[in-house]
Amino acid sequence: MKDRIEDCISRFRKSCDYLEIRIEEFAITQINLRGPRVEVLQETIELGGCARAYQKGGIGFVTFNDIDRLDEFVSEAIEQARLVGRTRTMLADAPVIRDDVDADPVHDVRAVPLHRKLDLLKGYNERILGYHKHIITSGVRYRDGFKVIWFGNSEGTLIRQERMDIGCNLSGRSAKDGVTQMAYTSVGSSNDFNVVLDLETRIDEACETAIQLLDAPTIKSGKYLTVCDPHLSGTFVHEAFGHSSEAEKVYESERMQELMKFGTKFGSPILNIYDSGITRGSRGYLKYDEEGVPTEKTDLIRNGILVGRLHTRETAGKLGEKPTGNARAVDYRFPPIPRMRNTCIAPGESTFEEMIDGVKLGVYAVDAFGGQSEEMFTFTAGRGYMIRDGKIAEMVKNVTLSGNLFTTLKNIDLIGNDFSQIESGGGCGKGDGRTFQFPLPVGEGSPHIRIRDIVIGGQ
Amino acid sequence: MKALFDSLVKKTDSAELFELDSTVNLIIFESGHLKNLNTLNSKGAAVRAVAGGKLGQAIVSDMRSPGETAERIRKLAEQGDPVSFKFSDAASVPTLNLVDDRIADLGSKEIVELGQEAVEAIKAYDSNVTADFIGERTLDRVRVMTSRGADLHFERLFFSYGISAELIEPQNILRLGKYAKGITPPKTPLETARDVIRDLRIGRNNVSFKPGRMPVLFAPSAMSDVLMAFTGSVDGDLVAKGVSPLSRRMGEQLLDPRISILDDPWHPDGIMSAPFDDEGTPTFRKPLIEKGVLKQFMTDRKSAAALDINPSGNGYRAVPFERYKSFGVGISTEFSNLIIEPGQTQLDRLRAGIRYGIEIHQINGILLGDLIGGDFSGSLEIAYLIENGERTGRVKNAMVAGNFFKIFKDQLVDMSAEQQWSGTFGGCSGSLLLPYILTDGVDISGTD
Repeated sequence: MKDRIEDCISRFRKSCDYLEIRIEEFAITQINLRGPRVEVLQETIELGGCARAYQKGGIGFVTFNDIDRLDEFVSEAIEQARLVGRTRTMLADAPVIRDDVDADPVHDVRAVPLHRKLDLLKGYNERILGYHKHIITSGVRYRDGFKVIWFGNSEGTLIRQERMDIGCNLSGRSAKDGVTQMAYTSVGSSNDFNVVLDLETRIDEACETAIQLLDAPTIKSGKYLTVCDPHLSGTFVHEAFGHSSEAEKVYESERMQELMKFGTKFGSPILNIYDSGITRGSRGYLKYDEEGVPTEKTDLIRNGILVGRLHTRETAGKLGEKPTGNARAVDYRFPPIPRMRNTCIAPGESTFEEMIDGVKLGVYAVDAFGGQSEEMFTFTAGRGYMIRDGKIAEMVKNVTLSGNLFTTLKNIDLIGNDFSQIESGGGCGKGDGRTFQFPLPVGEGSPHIRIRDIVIGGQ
Repeated sequence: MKALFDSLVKKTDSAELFELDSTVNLIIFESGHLKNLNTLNSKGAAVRAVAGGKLGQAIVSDMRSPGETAERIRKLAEQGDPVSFKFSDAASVPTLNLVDDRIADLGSKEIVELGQEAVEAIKAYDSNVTADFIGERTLDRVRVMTSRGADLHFERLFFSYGISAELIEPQNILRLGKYAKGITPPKTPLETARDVIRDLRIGRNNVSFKPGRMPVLFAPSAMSDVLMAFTGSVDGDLVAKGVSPLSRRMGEQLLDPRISILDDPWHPDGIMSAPFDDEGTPTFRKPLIEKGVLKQFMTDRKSAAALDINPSGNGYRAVPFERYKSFGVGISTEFSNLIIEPGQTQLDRLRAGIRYGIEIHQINGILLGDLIGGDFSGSLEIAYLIENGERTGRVKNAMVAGNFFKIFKDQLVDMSAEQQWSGTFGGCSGSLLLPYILTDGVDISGTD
């Protein structure tokens, strides 16, 4: 495949400013169980590719499944770029790389036969269903994948990269007197099948939560001092800040550049946020991104001050910054765009006790169901506990937090010393319509954080 | 593709192959400039097969060794659960014209011109506003073959576009998006750009408001999101499992008698129109809610079998929450084109009757709620304050919360005579034809 890509590029490299070809071969195994049944037992056997050309700032992009017609598709991409280009192609410099990257997993998903995966998941499923009479149904969603990506560009980069990915969500839905609730646990990895083993304790904890939530009151909506656990804080940093760091929102807009100017204060001096592609084992780990750029640990906020953002070569080139290895695509159907990898709040110095000490009324928000962001962001905790007079009190449900990019980060007043790396199933979604890319594997990490005055919706 | 199907038929008890060969042309303007032309060619199959009475499924775009792939699918199926339904044996399906010559004649060059007009109009309104445009022309060629003799085809062509305008000021971001889609030519991009400008004039002015219970006018783009608190409840799959609260409520008055909700796969303009669904079940028009009364659930073949009824032709392979087909996606029960019958009052008059209320156009975060049961909540991304019958500015930092079956049963005030094609996520995804709906006493909380 490498030769094929290199041959094709050599034929077309002179016809445009920049050309790249990416071909992917991948297998995905998906197993979904719900209630007593296997809902989905599916294998994916895909081969597809894409070609992207730049000419005078214009871009042509063509995807395909029929690899034998590669020349035709490449030529179409170049033609499109030429039709559009009127200015100048400005891609940030990237090193020329010739490399072969084996996935080198700790435990390879391909080495585990399907029946073993099925037996394991069926066992978990039965455990959820049998946990308590009020657990009415279960959800087990397992997905593993192994992918080979061949990437070549007209600058001479030629990379073969293997990637493994695994994620699993396990949930229990409870019901009593017309009230239904849900709780879940989730694991993920880029190099170890064994993260899905020995989850019994975590499953029991999730089921217990689903049962307890049945009797928990809905939180009274209002503004609260809120302590978020590492899981929720990870979702928070992803939604509240990570998406705003993705440079495509900035590079074409002078106004956005002013708003997101390096040196701008975004939080108090204790706040440090980074995005890393080099956390081995994280679902956000990758050696090279989808433009063949080596990844790195990118500081975004240092001591409360904005210092970095997440780039493709184009966004970096236009802003005169360095590419960061954040050009990612879910698969060959999509062009690379700036995306997060493993986004983290760095640990601080506070203990959990210090965070709740002396708090008359507040909320301890735990676990995350997910989030969504624009300028306003919203994210939902799995559950909450009221903090009353410095102590963790009753459990509450429907804890949906909402805030504004420019104010909420500033309201973080304490950061814990208890950093946790969070790897879950599922993934990040971005874009809309045809440009919607999901699920992109990402990781998150954070200690406990405390936010003064965040709005929680409830009743 | 045929080789894979033939091989599967030989090796398994029964088989179904959904083939999608689609060509999508995208024309992308960024910040007012033509930036990007894409052609997305996609050709592959989604397969389901039964071996030893058990079901397995596969997504295949690597067609290099069909025999080997069929063997792999057979082995997979053997480890599945016992199959509970049969593949389609439909011999005939309705005839629908889903390729309009006016769209067929719309080339990339023409779409570029349409996009140019739209972004120029927005630039002319205010050069500080940046305008994006995405035009899309999609040709889907669908074929479903089953070992029970079905071999069905259709072709569908549609044009769609989105225009978004972004205004960035210190501590304020306003992003307004409007979309149009159709199998016949929709409203022109220039007309839509004018709608965007009209909303920009109002939306750039942020106003404070008094939280509480108040009249809320749901625009079609917000209503599309709110409807997610309903569609799950009529999803035959969730009904069969007893998860839907409506499982035993067929024939009951669930909503205001003025509300009728129709699943219409034959609408001449609906981008989800099709003679058969992605399981090869012939489609038909049906009320889900008629005059407020629950009339029908939506089913695919599996959920229909579980409910012991005929499948309703609602088994689709569409990208979750988006409305375009993909062979890479499993069958799920979904509506085709969802239509709420209009009211009789002109939109202007609806607004004019509001003394103090909120008009919501885009809700953020609706999917984060547990929508089954009808509860929904989200923050207001695009919403306007209405004072004495007029929109006076944008309301930010607010959340809406309510229950679908309460609000649209006891709190409905009126619906507009105008309907608009819209979709979830601010209108983007398409295939819902809805009026503006005015309700009273909806909770709007402030988040400032």
